[in-house]
Amino acid sequence: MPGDTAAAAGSGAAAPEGPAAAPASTPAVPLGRIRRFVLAERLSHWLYALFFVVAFVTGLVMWIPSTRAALEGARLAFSQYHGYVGTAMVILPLLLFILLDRRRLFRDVREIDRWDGQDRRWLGLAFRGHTLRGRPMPPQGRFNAGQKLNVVLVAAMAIGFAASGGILMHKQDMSAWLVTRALWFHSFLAVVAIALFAGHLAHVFVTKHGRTYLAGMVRGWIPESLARERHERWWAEESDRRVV
Amino acid sequence: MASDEKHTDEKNIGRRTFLGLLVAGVVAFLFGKDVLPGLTTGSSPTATTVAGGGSTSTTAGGGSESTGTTKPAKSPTEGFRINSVKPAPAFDPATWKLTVDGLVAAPLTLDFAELTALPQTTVVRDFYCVEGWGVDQVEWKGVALSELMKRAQVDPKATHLLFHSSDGVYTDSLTIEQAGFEDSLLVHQVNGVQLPHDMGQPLRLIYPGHYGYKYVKWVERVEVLDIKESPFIGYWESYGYTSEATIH
Repeated sequence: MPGDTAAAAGSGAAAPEGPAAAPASTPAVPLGRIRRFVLAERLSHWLYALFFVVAFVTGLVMWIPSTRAALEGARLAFSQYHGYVGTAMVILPLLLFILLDRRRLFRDVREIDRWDGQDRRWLGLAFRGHTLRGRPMPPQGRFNAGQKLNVVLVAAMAIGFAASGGILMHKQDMSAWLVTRALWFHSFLAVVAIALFAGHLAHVFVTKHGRTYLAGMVRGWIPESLARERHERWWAEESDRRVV
Repeated sequence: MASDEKHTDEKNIGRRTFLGLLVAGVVAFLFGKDVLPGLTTGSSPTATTVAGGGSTSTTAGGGSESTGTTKPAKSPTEGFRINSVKPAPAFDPATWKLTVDGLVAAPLTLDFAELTALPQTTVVRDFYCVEGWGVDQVEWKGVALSELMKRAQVDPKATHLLFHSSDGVYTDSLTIEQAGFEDSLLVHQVNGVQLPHDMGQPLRLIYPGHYGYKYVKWVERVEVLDIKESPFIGYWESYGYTSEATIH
């Protein structure tokens, strides 16, 4: 698997990947930091987040009876805008990722797909509250099992939002049987997504290293100390590849 | 070191979970609405026991309906979301009037007592909103449009009935043929009780088998006209909805 600690070299996704791409005299990031996300990953993440928040707010406005009534005839145009935002949410971040760094996308998908025994043990212990109580956890790669599960959930829900939203955007041409189920399913997914989103934010603002992870998604790198503590296997791999 | 031990027991759990979630999503899509129906419907007024349950019946002179069956105790408006574009004035039986005018030989002006004294029709039909929610087996009671058209002596050249709401903005129409269907009614009761204000009290159009935006609330005027001479467009039709409002 290509390493990116050295390869990113301050140029984000545009930099070629692999150890050979990094000149020995120019470390990828300052010592004590380790690059976790390239530009393509960060842009896709924040673009998805932006569209999700806009889709959530517009969806909520249509769902609350008083605001729905206040919209009067604009309700119809509003629902169309909501549909456009939802369409953009599903398509644009993925398209951007593909255009900017397709190889990185495939690498991420591969990492998220593959779980070994330590991932499974990590998740089992996490569900039993070990992470919240600060107990020792099995060593993890760049993504821990909870982060992998989160990505899988978001991806599956994006498919669900797209399918049910597509039906609702063309409801006048669809059967009532299909439309009523699509509306229910879309609302159900929204409730689940909000719960997931709230948990995501809680991890950022409540847990010990949450803000550091957030900074990692903004700047691309995290402190090596955090990588060593929480993502030991990834840190070890990257340390092996580092050219100093 | 850790990387040397990699891949020994790796499994494609990510994709299996993803596919499992898609299957679960399909199941939820198909059956979730039946298990948890409240997710897409609004709140309801207080509970009332509702009598009745026939499919279509007509009685003379405002007689009450009872087929002897009793529906489970529930709110008469359970399952409905309230969608209105403008609030309407409160119903005052002392001043309220329904007008039927336009291309008619005998214009009508009826107060509420006169309206309910006309032959009454009760139908039980499913209701669907174009938004994607619906309410099964709603009992509506009121006056058939065919009865009003007969009394007003509609001109043969008339093509449509245009329904005006007392909210001042909402209108919609039916063709003369559509208005003549036996279940095209101006109703004043839903599930055995008088229409609540936010559902159109005292009078609402129903046009079963079609989306709810045709169900004009707070009807106070029925204008009979010829669309060639007096072109018009209904409220939601002006925003792009079809005039047919057909449920597929």
